[in-house]
Amino acid sequence: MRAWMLRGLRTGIVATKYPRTRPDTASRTVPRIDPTLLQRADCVRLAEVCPTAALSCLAEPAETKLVLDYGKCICCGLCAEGVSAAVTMSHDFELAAHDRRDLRTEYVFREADRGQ
Amino acid sequence: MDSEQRVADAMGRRLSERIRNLFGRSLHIRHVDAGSCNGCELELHTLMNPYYDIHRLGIFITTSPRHADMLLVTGPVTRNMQPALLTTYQAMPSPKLVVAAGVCACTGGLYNVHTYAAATGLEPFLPVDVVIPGCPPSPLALIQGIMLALDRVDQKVKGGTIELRASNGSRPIRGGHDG
Repeated sequence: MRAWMLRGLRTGIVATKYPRTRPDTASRTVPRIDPTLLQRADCVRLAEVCPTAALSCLAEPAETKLVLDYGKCICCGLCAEGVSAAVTMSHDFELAAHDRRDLRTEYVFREADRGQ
Repeated sequence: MDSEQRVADAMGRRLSERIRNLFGRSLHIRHVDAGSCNGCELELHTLMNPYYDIHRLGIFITTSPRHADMLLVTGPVTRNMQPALLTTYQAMPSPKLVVAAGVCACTGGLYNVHTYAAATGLEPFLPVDVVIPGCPPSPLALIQGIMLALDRVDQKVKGGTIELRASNGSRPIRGGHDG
């Protein structure tokens, strides 16, 4: 912000370019789930705490599936507040997609993997 | 299968070339507020200030659908706004693009429950070319979404299925968000 002000005063140009390197925005956006930290028991609690069902859980004996849908996420941050260590709020905003199904990520725990 | 893929790639290339030729230099956007809370409108209006300045990219906001190339919809498409939205879409000349900005336009967002407003997003009504999630999407996210509709940037997000072990190890099979 300060660099922009100084550059603007010096050159008279205030328009900012699209960030070339890893873009970041100051406000938090969607949650990011770390698959290495996600526990099977967290899935139901995460789905319960999400107000818009962006996080939804299908829990069966054979498999537990957690679905994170960016198309429904209102970025409230409730899922990142102590339910699971795997969820942190990110600053990712380059989420535009042609197909809404590209916004869905599924995290699947299969019973067959238990104990391996 | 391989020849099908080559045909699909060739068609994709011709389509993006056509889009670039038609819209690459200047794009006029008609924005319709279909019951939005106006958070997305605030972000959209910042695009016209000197800091983000979409006018230098050749993108303009127009007030007449007859002049518009792209329809940008915010809001969950409430029952009252459905006729106006469809009339606007029909008034726009082809070729036209439709962009759903904000999670309300994507899926109904916060309002995707059974209400009298019947607000469940844009997809049941119009063919959507690009969805821009976010509540509200930041101005850079809106720029990225509009550029994606013009095929001037690449899509970054790709959903998919990640298979996990029950004991907290992870083994991504395919897909996943790369941030």
